[in-house]
Amino acid sequence: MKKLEIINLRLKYQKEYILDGLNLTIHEGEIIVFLGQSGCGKTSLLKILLGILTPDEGTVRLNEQDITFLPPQKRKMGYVPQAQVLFPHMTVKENIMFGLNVNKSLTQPDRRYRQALALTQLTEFENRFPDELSGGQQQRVALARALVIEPQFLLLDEPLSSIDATGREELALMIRLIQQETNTTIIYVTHNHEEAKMLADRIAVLFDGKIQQIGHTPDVYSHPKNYQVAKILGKENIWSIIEILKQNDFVILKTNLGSIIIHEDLLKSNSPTGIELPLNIYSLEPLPDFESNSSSYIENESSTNIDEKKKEFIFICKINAIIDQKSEYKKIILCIWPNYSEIIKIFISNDVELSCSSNLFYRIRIPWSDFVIF
Amino acid sequence: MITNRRNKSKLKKKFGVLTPFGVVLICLLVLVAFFLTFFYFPLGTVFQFAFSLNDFESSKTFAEIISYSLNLRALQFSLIEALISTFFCLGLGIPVGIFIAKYHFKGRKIFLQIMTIPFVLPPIVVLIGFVIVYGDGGWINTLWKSISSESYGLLSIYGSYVGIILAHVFYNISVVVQFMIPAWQQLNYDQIDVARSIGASQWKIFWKIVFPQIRSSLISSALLVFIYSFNSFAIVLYLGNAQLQTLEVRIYKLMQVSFDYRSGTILAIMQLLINILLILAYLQLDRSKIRTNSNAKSTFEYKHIIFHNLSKTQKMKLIGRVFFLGIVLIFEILPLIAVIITAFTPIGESNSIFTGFSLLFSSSYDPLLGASIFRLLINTLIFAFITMIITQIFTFAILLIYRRRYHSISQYKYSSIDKILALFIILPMATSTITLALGLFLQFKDSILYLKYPWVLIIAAHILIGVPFATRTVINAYNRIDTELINVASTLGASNWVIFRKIEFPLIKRSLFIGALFSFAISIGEFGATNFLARGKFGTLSLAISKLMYTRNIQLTASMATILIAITFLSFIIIQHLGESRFCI
Amino acid sequence: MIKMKFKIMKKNRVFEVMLLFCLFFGIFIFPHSIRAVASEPKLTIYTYESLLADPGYDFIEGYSNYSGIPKDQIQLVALEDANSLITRLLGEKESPVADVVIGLDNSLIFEAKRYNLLKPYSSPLIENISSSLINNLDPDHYLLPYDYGIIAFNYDQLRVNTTTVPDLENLTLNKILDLDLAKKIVVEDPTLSSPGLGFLLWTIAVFGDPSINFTGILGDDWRNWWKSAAEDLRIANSWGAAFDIYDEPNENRPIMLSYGTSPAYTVCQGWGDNLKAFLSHENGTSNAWLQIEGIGLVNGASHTIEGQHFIDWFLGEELQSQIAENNWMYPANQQVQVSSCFNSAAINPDDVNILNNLITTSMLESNLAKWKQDWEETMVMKSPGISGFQNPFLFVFAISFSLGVILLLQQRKIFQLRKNVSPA
Repeated sequence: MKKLEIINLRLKYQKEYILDGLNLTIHEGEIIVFLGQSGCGKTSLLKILLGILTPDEGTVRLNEQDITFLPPQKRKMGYVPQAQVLFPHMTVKENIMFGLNVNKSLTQPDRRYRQALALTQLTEFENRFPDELSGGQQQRVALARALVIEPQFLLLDEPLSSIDATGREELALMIRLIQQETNTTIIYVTHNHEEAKMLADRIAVLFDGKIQQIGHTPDVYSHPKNYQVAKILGKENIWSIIEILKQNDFVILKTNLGSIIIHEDLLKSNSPTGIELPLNIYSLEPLPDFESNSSSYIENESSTNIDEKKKEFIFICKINAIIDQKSEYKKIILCIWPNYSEIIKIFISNDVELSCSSNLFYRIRIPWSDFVIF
Repeated sequence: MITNRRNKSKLKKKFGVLTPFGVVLICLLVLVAFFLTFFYFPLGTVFQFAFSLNDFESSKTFAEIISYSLNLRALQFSLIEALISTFFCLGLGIPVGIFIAKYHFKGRKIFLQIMTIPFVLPPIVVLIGFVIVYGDGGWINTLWKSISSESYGLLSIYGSYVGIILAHVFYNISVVVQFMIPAWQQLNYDQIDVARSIGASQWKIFWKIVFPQIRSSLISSALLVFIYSFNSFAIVLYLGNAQLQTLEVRIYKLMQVSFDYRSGTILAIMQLLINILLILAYLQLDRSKIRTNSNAKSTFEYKHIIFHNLSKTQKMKLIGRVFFLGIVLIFEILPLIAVIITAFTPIGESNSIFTGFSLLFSSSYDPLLGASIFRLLINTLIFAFITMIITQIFTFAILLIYRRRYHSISQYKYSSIDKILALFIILPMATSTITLALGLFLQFKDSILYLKYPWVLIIAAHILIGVPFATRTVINAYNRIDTELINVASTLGASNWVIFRKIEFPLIKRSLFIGALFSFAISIGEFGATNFLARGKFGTLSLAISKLMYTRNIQLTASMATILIAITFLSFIIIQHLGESRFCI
Repeated sequence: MIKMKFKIMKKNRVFEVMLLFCLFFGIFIFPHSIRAVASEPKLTIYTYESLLADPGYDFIEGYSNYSGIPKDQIQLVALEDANSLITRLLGEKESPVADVVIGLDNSLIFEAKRYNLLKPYSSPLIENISSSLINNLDPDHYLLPYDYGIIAFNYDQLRVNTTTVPDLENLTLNKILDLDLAKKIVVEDPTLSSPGLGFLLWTIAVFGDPSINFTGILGDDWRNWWKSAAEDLRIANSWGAAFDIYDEPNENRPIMLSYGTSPAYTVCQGWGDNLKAFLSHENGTSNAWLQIEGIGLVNGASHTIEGQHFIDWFLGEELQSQIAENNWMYPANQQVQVSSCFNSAAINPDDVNILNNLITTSMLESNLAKWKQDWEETMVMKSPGISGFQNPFLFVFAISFSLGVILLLQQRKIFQLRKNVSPA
């Protein structure tokens, strides 16, 4: 059983730690996806694993052996970089054969080459030069080039980011397939949660130099640990909690939407960081006499927006856009009064009459049981 | 920088020599040794010599020399003239460069070669042709007089800014063109397409997207043109009519004519300081280069000149461009043609069109030339060949020193050592030739090198002049290589050496070859230093031309110049052929 | 497989070509050098390139035959011009290489003396040389005259003649300005060329220099003449360059500053007799400056005796008879007769009022450097300036200011980039 351990990894970039105490174990045969926003140090992490960068602190261990300073040449790790980085002066065949030509220890180069070619479905392009291929094809060449040395680990750095939508899916499937067929451990880095969902066995969400959450894909998706994770996972209608106040049995959560008061029992952890609103809203009532500048109305509303008995969350909004989905639901985008820059997206039945008028306000009620706090 | 030293040393202990420090050290030692021996020590000797001479000039203080009106005037003129020359060179060179980069047409290579020939010809040859075409009684002025029926010509190239700037533009335009072509072909066209799709205007696209990408090449070429124009010698000496002098001319006059070494040296130091400032500015500007280039993917394809399928305005535009190109080509080629025509124009009735050549090959001028023309020819070619080889070796060495930074850090950054090295190597180009030659002479006058092997010194001087150009070309290309290529190759198990051989080398081959071409051609055309150092049988063709100026037979001079033009052109073609078929992609 | 083999062959061939080239170069250069080491020169002579060069007399061979010293033991170093001789000698002052130097003239003698480069030698052949030549060159015998000739204006009879300019045979320097003839003249730069310097001294002797109370012939200031002529005269940097301008009809400069002996060259070499010479005729005499070229022993030379022998031979009849029609000057040795062809075409200095007699050698010695400098100032200050930047300091300031602004902008851009682009 091969395993790759990352222990307390730290990396400094321009006086700031972009990786700050990373701990992780990667097991053989899985696809692990590092998900994080651009610039969070994902690529640097990959490069540390590859041996291109050396960390400032911490160790990387492979099968209980310290490989932190092992040069990339000796790691047997396949690498597919972000942009389609092919050797421009070599044909597809030469590109793929490169690894085989420089590693004389690899036996049966032709068989390996044929196999990689078949896996990536590049047979007809053998003799072309990189600039004669599409982005997706180029990326497949890069993949084949990495695969051909039969690496212990395959490291992919946003391989789909610069490929058009159709090619993207195809390639994602291909990666999945290759993983199944070769049982290579894949370490995949991306900022795209869709890709992560599509590919990952396990997801590790990176933020602020740390792994915020790691787990199997469904677990992570259904239970994001905090607001940042939820945001990185691409959840819609999430709000960060700015302040938490306690009152008797109740907790007041101040968000950028307004305050929510909930019962202490509903809190799963002591310091929640965000809430998620459901996409389906039960009631959306127009407020014809609401005036946007009437502060009194707000006062009244805000004092009444916590109806303990009804256990509802109420806020006022304006319709920004109505998107007809040609189904029984339509998607509407609402901006929240008084801070119009806050937006939520909800689905609503086609039966409900709505108008996009700029001076028409609506009141939304959401029962406690429908929103998720994390 | 992300790695720190501690880790590096740890890593070395564990896995042997990861970065080939030994190789880099050897390269560094060889380079430093060469430049110290043939440039920096000689330079020091010149200073020492100038300040140790005891005569009435030594009473002058530093400030007196600097503020002396003639010297100040020379400095002012050098700066203004170089600035204007650079401006016009860019103005003409950029469009031409872009056109050649963009379009594929028949004779494209020949066109480029013709554009490049003036740059490597000795100034004397250029001037012969230049005067025939643009002189008071030159073709242009004669034409003008016959058209306008005025008694005075259109251009007065003597003692005027016009002549000198025209000559500098003529001479240096190819620098801009040569720099623009790769820059343009490596543009990120996706960005341009994106910008076009969101409706950015042509001007905005150029300014916001194209310009930042070609900026470093532009600045490099502008800087080179400026330095060449600022240090211009023969052209100003010839066309200045004694009224206009550059600092270089002034230094020459002080050292070679007035024997006022002290003043000359102080001016040379001043000139050197200005050049250092310029180069430092350039290196500073050069820093952001890698950022714009690292992930750039070229989707470049040649366009063909096709007239159908074009709208009327597009047609007009294309015609305009071709016309412009034609004008520049004529501007560049006329003086060369003039030289050749003169070579075949007999003087007096008794001579035939081949008199010039037959006289040259008949060995009747051997006493004047110091050797037979064949010998001079072989000298010229062999000096150029050795210069080219050694320049290539040095370029390789410099490359090996430069590439060391790539294997441990992600972001490129100019370390101060790189900067110092760049300055160290580029400086000989920015030193006045007379100082360089005088330095070599003073340093080696008692050594066996000077007494018995003057060719070593000649070649050394040629290398000193050629290396900066060759290295800049190659390092520019090297910086354009995507670091990820190297990363990928290393993960595939390629060793440092293999990466260099299989990835980096093929990608810079073309510029290596251009560097070689230029060092070869610069050596063929070099005059100033050779003139000072060459003796007896070790003359070159460009020296021979200047010697033949003293005969009263211009046909003879022009014939020799024609031979030189032909050799330059031929070697361009041969090297290009070799380069394209075997060494290049 | 076949392809592979072919590839290897190709590679090898490139290597072979390179090897061959290097071998060739080795064969070509090294044996020569070794030979040069084998024969230590018995005599080293420095001169300028065009000495006795047109059509050419191999004086090394001549001396070798005369003295019995093998030709390859006489080392001849021909430098670009006479000025380079001084540079070279000065550089080698501590350990001189040359024994004899040929070609320093009556203006460069002062530089040679100032730096103590020469050693006086009173050759027995002096008696054959006129004393006025010796006195005008160097009474102390550091340099001995071997040839002489006057500086003169040459003109092309086909383009300028007494029909177009009736006064041609009777011009004065002032008349040249009055008749607007300066536009047709090309002269050499006095700071770069010896005939050019001769002409500068000619104007000084004619007009005088009030700053040193020298009245000359006319009692004016030579600077005034140059100031008026500066814009119209073409100033070439060398004799060769001047000749090219003169020779090209389209340049419209049919008059050039050259030597009084130049017509002899064209006539005796069969180039026709269209080239004529004229002088200036102030106060009714034909006035001209005389250039005297000399040969001398190098101070500290290792082969002094051989050097003295060579000088004796050089001033002797065998060589002197070659001077006229190879160096195109009058031989200094009075025993030697020049050909009738030469004599009829050249202007003989004896028939001319030699201006050198007005400017004494001591006056020349103390003023020459200043005169050259004044001449340059006169010319350069006449040059077209670019308005706005008349003050060079202002200009330098403007340049550095704009450079600084560019750098600053650049810095900001880099800074912004850093902010935005943290490592992905």
